[in-house]
Amino acid sequence: MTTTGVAVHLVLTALLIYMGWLTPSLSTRTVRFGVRVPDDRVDDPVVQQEIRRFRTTLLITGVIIAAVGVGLIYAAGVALVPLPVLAQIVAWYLLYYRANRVITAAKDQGEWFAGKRQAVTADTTLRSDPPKFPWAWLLLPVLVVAASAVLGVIRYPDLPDPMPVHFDVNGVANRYAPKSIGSVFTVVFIQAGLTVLLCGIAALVFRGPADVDPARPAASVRAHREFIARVGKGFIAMATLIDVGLLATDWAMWSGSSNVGVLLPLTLGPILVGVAVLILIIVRRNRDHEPDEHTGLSHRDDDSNWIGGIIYRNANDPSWFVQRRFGFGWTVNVGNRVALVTCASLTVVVVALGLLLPLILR
Amino acid sequence: MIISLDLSSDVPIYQQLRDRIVEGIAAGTLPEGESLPSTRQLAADFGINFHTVNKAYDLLRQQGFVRLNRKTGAVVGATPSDEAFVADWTARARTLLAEAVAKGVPAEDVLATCRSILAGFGEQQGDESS
Repeated sequence: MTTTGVAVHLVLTALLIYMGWLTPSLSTRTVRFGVRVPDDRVDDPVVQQEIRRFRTTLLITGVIIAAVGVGLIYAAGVALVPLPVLAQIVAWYLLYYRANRVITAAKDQGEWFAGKRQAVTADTTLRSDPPKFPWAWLLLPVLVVAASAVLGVIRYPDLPDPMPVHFDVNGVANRYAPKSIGSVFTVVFIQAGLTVLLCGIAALVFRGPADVDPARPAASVRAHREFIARVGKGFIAMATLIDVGLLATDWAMWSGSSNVGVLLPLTLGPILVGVAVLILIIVRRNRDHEPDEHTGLSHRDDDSNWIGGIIYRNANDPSWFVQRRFGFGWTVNVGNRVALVTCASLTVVVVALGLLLPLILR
Repeated sequence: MIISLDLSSDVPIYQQLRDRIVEGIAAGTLPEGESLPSTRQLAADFGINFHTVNKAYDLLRQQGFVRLNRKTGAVVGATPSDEAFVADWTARARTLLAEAVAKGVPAEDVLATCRSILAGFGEQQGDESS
């Protein structure tokens, strides 16, 4: 159990260091550590130097956190796995913020945007002829969830009442629940919920606004279309792999006994592969596409809309979500009241459900 | 169609948006009957205030370049030019040509520029239909 915990810890830390290492490629080309720079400053010596310094410090802190984490887990148990992960993310953000400050100072001092023609660009064809959502791909996670449900239905008559729902380190059942649809199919419900959530995100990604680079709009739109298609499929693939991992948990519960040494890798393996696939898709963008056009425009300097490089506030922008500048994903526009209130209420509902559901099901 | 709005320009943003859409219609990148994105959608894509987009769409409708429909939103559909339009357009063309003449641009060059711009619209329209 401890060995598996250490393995999980090391894999997670390695993934985080890898993502942190690629911070410069996670955001669009003209956003360097959360600072909008003009097209001709993307490879400015200050930026280059900050990338080098960021990566060196990230690697050193990463190795230290990984080593301390291993010690902690051996000393105090697997429950501490999230702690080094959290520390790693905090270190990542602090180093990112430091680079952000240095580049902002250089940008202000050197007046990087002086004399630049700042512009915003959109492509109407992204709306009139949007990238096609890969509906056929949805079959993959749906089939896995359906297979889990069918398996549950087949096993249902043979399950004991009360049935074991929790196992100790040696695979001996230590918690029981009365046999019911709720207790037998708990994990199947989680599978279905996660599938809906991840595929919903995939669908939202297809509708999200594109941050088109005014300096080279055509290449930027092309890259956006390709990236959206890949990320959409990546989310669906991740949902499928997570469902496969949870199917192993289902089977353990329904077969009555579980061997943790086999079950944990069977569950976590596919989930980690899914996460890794998605990360690979994300970090591979901005890699191709050499600059083939120059319109003479630069993206507008929109740094004043960003607080600490992580929170977006722009009351003039009707967008609900924009792409994050730290890490990868989308962040809510807190300047948009409707979006903010909706997201806050949804979060409250989800958290409340998460807290209450175990009580209701019991 | 890719539209860039130059925020450092003296031309108001709604005017730029209106101009780009008219150019798109002339070039055929926005063919007759094509739906334009909704004002909110386009404003979100640009990250600008949706009143600005609204103003541009309103202008385009008043000048007869798009039809605004409750169901389908803004649809490209230019009304044929009439006398009033020709008179107004001639007046504006006069100012534009006067600028070139006043700066001493030779008449042949002015005509050549006009011809190449017109040919450019025609060419792109040809590309679109092929």
